[in-house]
Amino acid sequence: MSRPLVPGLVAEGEADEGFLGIVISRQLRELTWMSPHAVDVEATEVVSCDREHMVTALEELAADCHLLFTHDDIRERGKTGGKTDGVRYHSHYLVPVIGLGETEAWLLADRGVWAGLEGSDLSLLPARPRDVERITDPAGILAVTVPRRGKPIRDYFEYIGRNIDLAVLAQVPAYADWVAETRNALKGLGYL
Amino acid sequence: MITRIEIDGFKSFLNFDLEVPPFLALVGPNSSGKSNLFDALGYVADEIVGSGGLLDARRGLPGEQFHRVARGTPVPGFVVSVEALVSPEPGALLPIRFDVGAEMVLRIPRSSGAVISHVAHQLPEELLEFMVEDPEPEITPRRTVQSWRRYVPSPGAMRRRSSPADRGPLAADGANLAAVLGRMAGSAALADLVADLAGVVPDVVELVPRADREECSFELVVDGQGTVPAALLSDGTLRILGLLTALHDPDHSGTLLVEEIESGVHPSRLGELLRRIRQRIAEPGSVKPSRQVILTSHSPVVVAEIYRSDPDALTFLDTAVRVDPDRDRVSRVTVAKPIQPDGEPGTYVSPRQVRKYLGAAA
Repeated sequence: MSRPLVPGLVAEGEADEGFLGIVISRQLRELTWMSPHAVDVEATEVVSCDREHMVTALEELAADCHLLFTHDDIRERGKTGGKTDGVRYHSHYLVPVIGLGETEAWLLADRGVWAGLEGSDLSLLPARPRDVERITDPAGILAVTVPRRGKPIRDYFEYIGRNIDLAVLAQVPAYADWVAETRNALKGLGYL
Repeated sequence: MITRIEIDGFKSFLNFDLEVPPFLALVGPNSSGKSNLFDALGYVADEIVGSGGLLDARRGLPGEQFHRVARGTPVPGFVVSVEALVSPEPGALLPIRFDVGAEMVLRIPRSSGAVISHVAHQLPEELLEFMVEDPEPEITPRRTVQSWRRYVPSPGAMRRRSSPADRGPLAADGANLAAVLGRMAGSAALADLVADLAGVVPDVVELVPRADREECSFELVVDGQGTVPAALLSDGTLRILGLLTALHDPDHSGTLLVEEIESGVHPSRLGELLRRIRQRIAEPGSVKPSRQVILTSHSPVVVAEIYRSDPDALTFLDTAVRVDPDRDRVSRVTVAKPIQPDGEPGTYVSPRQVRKYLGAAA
């Protein structure tokens, strides 16, 4: 028997929907390779909303997911009915919520994936993945990097999400922290 | 009538099982396994009556019928099991189960044969009184799988004339449509077929089968247009006509497997078509020969209609990536999800997810 694992993401922009949702599922597959049993990692359930409606979105997603991800550090804001570690659903189980922080620069971490995309401009990408955290205007760098063939930037997000090297991405400190926190949450849920 | 399907190791399926009601709509995105499920039934049928499921595979080479892994150890073989209820005579029922499979031997795929038995999971109690021993054990398996008919219409073929000697059921591509309609000429079944056609295809007045010693053809009488020969009918009209013909054919009931039911049907008529299809379903144990429909769809219109009228008939097919460290294997698998208000996430589709699916069309 296998156990399902459904991640949820409260997305704040196009990059979240196209890129992060894919990366989250891929990373969960890597993490569950250490599981004592088979795990069916599903596609990330994505709900887009503004910050005002985030609590509602989280509560809705909590009904359909095992683990939630959001940019907003909702735990510090204490908006989940006094719970400090997740969203309680149907009052009988708790769905962990993990903060993602700023993620836009993650798209720029792997020079290799952009190099494989004909027409990309790699000149402004940092040599070391960790240095993407120093980029002050990731959206601007992204606009320069994507091939200039008249396609909207967002049209490249899914491709990058599917092909970015997770080992390279893990060299970005914030990403590595997020992976560590996710691993702990999976342990708490009994997946690891 | 098929009641249960179990698949392990065939195409996108690992440890997959599905209870099959008399009317079943499989909904899901591209590559979620809907066609693979029909291929699995085709595999069983080809093992029983064809020249073998591996050689007759509709899609892919023999070795490509095995589950594909992204990482780790390939599956050594597969098993497809199908349970069905057949009616050897009116008012009598017989459970039948097929277990067929294949294995890789020195990297060469070969059939591992078929086991036919009469066991069944969860037979409804009210049907037990109809159970009989198999009066024709030599024929029943072949007859059973031959009653599973795929409908993949080819409008070009359906426009052609056909031989009146063809007494068989509608072919998968509908190429003998004219012959089937000729056989039904003058019957109550044809009258009901025309009534349904007029309810789904605008302005249809009458359907006129033509048959002589040499060949069969048919014409449609259209309001304000007069008689239109088959050769001039639109693809969509022919698809609907073929489907309704298969469902009304009094001599050949069984299980109809329809892919992408919405294909060629105007969305405003889709609900009506589904309603009329469901009226043709005959459950086992009834006086009429059982008639089952399993259809696939991507269409939110189809989901909306069935969700409103018969939510238990909806099953969502989706995929997940199965990470199985014990078996040293990572692969994409098909998962089936019924609609439920709550439960373990990943095992069902919630009303919120249905709304999201329906919202995709807005």
